[in-house]
Amino acid sequence: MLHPELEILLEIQDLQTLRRDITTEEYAAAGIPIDPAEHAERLDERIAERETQLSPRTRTAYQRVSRRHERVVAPVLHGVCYGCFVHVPTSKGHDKERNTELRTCESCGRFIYYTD
Amino acid sequence: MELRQFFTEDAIKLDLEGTTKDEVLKELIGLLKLDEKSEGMLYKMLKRRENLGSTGIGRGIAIPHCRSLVVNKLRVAFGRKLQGVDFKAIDEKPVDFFFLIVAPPLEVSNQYLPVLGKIAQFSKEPDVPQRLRDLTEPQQFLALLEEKGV
Repeated sequence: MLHPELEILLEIQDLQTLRRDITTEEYAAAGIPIDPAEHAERLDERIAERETQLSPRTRTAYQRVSRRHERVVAPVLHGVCYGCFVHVPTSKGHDKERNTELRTCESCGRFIYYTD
Repeated sequence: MELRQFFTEDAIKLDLEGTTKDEVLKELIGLLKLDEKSEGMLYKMLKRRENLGSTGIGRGIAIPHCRSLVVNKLRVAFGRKLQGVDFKAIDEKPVDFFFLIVAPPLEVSNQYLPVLGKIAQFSKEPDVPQRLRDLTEPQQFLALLEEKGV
């Protein structure tokens, strides 16, 4: 099971990344038929909608992190936060079902998502 | 960087079973062998991307793609459905060949967009659709990528 708010945060991040990608020259050069401006607007609407589904506490933390970092959720791989590349304490890194709780990196403050 | 290095035989399926866009997307995701939750999240993102505009680029080829934290490195898969699937492609023709690309949001090697570009370039080669149609084994797909040198 994935924490419901973590799922929302992951989707927001994926949408933000998609928004960045579709406005790049490389994306346009690949010949994918898309209108970047129109679709960026639709993505913004979806991102805003998902943000409202976060609890006030999580939304505040999310806004605080997003002011400092482009990406608010960082993967943790082999015990390392890939936002700041600092080791996540063992007690957090080896729990079972680690993504069932909403956790943040103690070093950079990003929400963390265990991928291994 | 060459496309061949990203594809493996177990992520190539020359006889997709799905008959709809959604079924094919799920089948392609299945080739990546992720856990159930990750598959669901990836499907939602791919659908969201498709809802912005089909990744069917014409000539029977589609390149569904997205970034997602459910993968920790760039993953690709290839699927073929010789009867074609309505994928709302740009030329409104059925799609027979599907290249799935999924990348993590942050890549140190920054391969996602170049890989997307290379697959698009490969797809535009005049003989590629027929060559893909003629494949009988996954190894032949890998050999075709090598031959084209993309």
